[in-house]
Amino acid sequence: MKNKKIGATSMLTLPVLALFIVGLLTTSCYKDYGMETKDYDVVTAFYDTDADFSAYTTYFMPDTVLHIVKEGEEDNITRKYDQQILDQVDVNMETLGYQKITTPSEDIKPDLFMVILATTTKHSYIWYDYPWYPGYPIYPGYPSYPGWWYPWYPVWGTSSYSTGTLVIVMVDAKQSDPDKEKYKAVWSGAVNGLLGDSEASIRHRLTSAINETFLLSPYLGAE
Amino acid sequence: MKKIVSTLAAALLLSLPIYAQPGGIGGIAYSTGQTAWDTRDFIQDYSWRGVAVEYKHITSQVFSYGFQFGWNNFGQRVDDVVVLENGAISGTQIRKLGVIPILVSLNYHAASLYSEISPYLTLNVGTYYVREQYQLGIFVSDRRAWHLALAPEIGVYIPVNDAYLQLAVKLNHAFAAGDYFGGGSKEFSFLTINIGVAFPTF
Repeated sequence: MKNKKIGATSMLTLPVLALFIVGLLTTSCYKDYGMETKDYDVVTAFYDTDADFSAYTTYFMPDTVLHIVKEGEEDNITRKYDQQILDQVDVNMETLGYQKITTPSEDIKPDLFMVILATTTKHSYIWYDYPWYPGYPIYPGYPSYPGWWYPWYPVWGTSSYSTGTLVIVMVDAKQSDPDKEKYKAVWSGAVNGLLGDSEASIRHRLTSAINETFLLSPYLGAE
Repeated sequence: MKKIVSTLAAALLLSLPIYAQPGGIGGIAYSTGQTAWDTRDFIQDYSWRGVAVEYKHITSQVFSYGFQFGWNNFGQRVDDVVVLENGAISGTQIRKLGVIPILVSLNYHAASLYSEISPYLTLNVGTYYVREQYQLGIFVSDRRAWHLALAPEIGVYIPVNDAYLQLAVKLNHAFAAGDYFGGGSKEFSFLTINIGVAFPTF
């Protein structure tokens, strides 16, 4: 076998190959998952596996969305979406075959109570970073300080975002005892998502998310 | 039989050219990867993000030893519904896996680096630093741990002027450790395909 002498560095091949590797690396560093505001919405639905949802035929729902606020804090949650939320829950319940009782009485008692709760949370965080600055220039008679260095003064900033959570609870009226404050929840759907979006977008996302809580629950239905 | 085997082995070793001077070979490679076995349940997408740096110190006609380190990053977006025993969760999941291998290697060279093509076999042993991130909506689980690891590798050096093109395939296995999302320790496995450039020091 003929030995091949490895000599001095090639003027062209090595830089070209190295540039190729570096190019591949830098272009592959970041992956964009295409996340939009609506992609941060999470919808859940949980149920009592012993409940027979076909046995329920009627429901009552107050015309108010309850706000959950920390003790001592002011209720700043907007009510402009309340009617839309109530209406959308009604649409889904009626599609499932449940009949709404608007005025319950001793003679007309609903099988289910629907309760809707809303809360908001503000998330804040502090960030810092060390910016990079170029080195000192060369002055005649003095040594140069080439290269990059970072100062001891970090850049500080704060950022925050708010999220909203909507919870829809289905309570079995016959198995509950309001006098003893005991309520039998048989189903709950929840929606969590980012606020700080346009009103039109929030309304669209609310409708989709409420529909999704019921779509995740194929066991619901009066028939 | 023993005499035949030892004679053949001696003939094989003596037929390989001796290197003119001691030295080694080092390089950098672009590393792509595919998850395997249980790790594939978490992320299925192929990874195009990774780098590997290595050095082999040649000690004899056929053996060298050295080190390797690098970084491989896997990620995937999943929009499926998660079905549970008593309910379901719908939301965009972002699943990420970052691995930093730190390995020592023992290499067998089947042909001289002066050859037109120089295949080799490597056994890498060391540790992997693994970071697993699972995001659902705004909720993120971020777990990390060090794992013992084993990574057999097969590759070739192809001379290109005064350097080498290196192609390698490596099976990476990080043994179970840590406390990851879903509870308990996990092992991770993935296959990497590297293409890089190597520079001799002899």
